[in-house]
Amino acid sequence: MAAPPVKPEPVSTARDIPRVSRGPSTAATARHLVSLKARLTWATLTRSPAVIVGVVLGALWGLAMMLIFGFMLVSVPNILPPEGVLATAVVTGAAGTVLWWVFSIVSGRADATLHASQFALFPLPRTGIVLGQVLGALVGIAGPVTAIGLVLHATMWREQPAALITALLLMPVGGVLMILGNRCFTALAERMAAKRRVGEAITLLFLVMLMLAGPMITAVMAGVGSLGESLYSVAAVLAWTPVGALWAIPADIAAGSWVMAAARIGVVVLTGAALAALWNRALRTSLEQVTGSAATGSAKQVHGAGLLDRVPARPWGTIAARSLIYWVKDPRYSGSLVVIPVMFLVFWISSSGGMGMLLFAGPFVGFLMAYAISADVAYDHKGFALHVLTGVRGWEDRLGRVIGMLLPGVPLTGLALVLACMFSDAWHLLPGLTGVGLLALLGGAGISSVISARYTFPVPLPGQSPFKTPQGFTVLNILAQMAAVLVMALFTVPAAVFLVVQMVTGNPMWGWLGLVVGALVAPAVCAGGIWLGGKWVDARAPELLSTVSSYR
Amino acid sequence: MAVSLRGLTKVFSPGTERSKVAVNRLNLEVPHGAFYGLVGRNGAGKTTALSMLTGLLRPTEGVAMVSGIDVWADSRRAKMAMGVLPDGMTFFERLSGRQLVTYAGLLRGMDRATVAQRTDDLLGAMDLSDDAGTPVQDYSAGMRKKVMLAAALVHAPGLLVLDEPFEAVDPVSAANIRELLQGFARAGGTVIVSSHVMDLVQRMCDHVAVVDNGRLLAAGTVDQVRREKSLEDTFVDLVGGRTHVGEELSWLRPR
Ligand SMILES: Nc1ncnc2c1ncn2[C@@H]1O[C@H](COP(=O)(O)OP(=O)(O)OP(=O)(O)O)[C@@H](O)[C@H]1O
Ligand SMILES: [Mg+2]
Repeated sequence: MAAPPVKPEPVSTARDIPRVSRGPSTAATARHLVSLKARLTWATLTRSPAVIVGVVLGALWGLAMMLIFGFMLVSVPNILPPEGVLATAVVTGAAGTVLWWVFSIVSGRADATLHASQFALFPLPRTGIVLGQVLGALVGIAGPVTAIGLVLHATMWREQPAALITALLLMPVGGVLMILGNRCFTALAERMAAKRRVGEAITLLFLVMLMLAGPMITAVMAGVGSLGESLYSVAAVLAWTPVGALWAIPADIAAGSWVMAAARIGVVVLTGAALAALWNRALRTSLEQVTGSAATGSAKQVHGAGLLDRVPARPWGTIAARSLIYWVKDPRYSGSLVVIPVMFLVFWISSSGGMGMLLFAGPFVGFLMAYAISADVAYDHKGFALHVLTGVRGWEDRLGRVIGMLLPGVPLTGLALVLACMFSDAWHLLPGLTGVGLLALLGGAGISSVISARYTFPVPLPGQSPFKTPQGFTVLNILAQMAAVLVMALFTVPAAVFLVVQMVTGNPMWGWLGLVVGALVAPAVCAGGIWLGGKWVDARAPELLSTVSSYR
Repeated sequence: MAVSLRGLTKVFSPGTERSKVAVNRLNLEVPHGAFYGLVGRNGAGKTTALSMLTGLLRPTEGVAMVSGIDVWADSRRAKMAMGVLPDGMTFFERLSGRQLVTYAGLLRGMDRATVAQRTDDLLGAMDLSDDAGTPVQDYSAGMRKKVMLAAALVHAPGLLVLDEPFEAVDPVSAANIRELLQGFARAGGTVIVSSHVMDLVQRMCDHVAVVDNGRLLAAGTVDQVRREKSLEDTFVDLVGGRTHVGEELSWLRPR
């Protein structure tokens, strides 16, 4: 194309008006973003030897899963009739799409790699950012996996050549739709997360969904017996939704039902257009907001000193009140509080019919609560400096945190114990279970007090999402955490033995004995843990502080 | 002496390639009632030295004493005698400003009525009364500094160790705080501040110490150190390192 003739500007004005550099072009911006994402991905995967080991193990596992899943997809046409292929194609395609879209809400909070607001200060063209984000989505881990999945998905149509060709042609459309939705919802989530409370609510909601996913899948699986119709009717509905329409088109083409195909293409186009428009709008606001993800305030004012006014005016009482405030206000703690009722539901659903897991909900809740404070100093992060500067005694620091945890922990554990016995109609086991629960909660608290004074590992920092994988967290940390859990479990043995004996012999005396043992041992373990943990805090508080404050 | 540092040394990651001597055999005597300024370039070791004095960072070698109490042998007693504003730390930011100052007071074992009274006074003095109920995480940088300063003052210690207390603080608040600190020093309290604002140090402090590369270059009363020149010129002479970058960065001009 010939450039239109431009009148050369007089030299004098060019000198008078300071020219501002126009910044990189669209293509250059996209290239920068993609290479940035690639480098970040690589850096995350190769951070340390332990991470590499974990990555390799994870990759092997992922590969195995993909092989199994791929094999299942590929063999579908051999097992199922054409309607079955259609239903499978729609359901799996829709599931993949939903996964991509929903994942954005978590990743939007957890991974800010290519967040638009990070680039607000640079003079980058918006189209370049858009292109870079779309292409950047491909260089991660999910990109290649999805590409392979899409190819396998298309091969399901191999019995019908017309459908196969359509499916192969539509493959890139599917990929674009997935990424488009992902970026759109990420941008929206980013905007919403800018209001801290909203962001925290989304996080908690997702946590609950994640926990409920297990039993929901089991429930679905239980229905697999009558798979036939339910799968077909689900697929028939899905085939008209934004996430499922695309995947049914090959069947329409193969059957020659052009009207249906056109209607579904309409759904896909509308979806794409809506997503693009939404994304564009969200992106514009993100780029205009230079401070980006810096959360804007909650206007709520606290009158007086709040809880700090209602506890004994001793250092341990004060620390207990502060802990309790954090249990309520900080999603890294309140997440655990939300999880517990959900956990109870999960236990209940998965043991429907007779006594099963549900019976142990009480000790389990106690265990979860106690474990939640095993990284307390790391959660304090630099705030721990205040404890070091004021010279709080180690045991007071430990005791305060334990009390802060027990204030919600005791009622929750008690409630779980009673409800579990009520729903499983096993009141005769309550004393024994209470003994075990005491050891799990109180004994566990003692062990946590020692662990958090001695062994620290990177955690999400104050103000960050509980989902954020902290820098420097490795497989070794997970192993150490498992060891801690094992120790805590071991300490419940003294009472658990009596409970088991009661369940075998049926003699309630054993349960009562278990309760007595629990009531005697648990406070002793707790006190011992607070004492030992306190001694360690006294001895190495500065070292603890430099370790935890180096996390970022 | 209110503070005496003897042979204070900190080596970060010793024995490795990244080994770094941040503070190198520092000796410093701070008399009671002194208003002591600590100056030095970025990375000179001021924060590291003050952290070792206040019990936040264990020295590799050397002794830090506060009114004759060894900070690293009898740390609780030493910490009770100090009020500290650390640099690069954040306190529990989900607490409101009032809660944070109350927390610091109660952690020191004070009784509730006194803490409540002093918290109110301090928040007023720091011009934070209107934001006392707001979570500290919603504060601006200067407001954070001020609320942390209030938390350092609440137990009325004999020694204040303040690392860059005026950074990001507005001129009106800074003047109020300066007056408050000078009153404290006149009444016999000891103050150590680190700062980059030479003018401020010259006007506010009666003593000054210059550190560079972890070593003490000069210490004494402000007049002894600066002689006839301004403190700023003396400082630049002492640490050197002025480059005439203006000519080298000739491309840094609006086009
Ligand atoms: N945790 C650490 N690990 C390794 N090196 C450190 C650490 N903390 C500080 N240093 C190094 O020690 C030196 C002194 O740092 P310090 O923070 O004491 O300087 P400063 O005088 O307070 O500087 P500024 O005026 O910028 O606050 C610097 O070179 C710094 O890089
Ligand atoms: Mg410093």
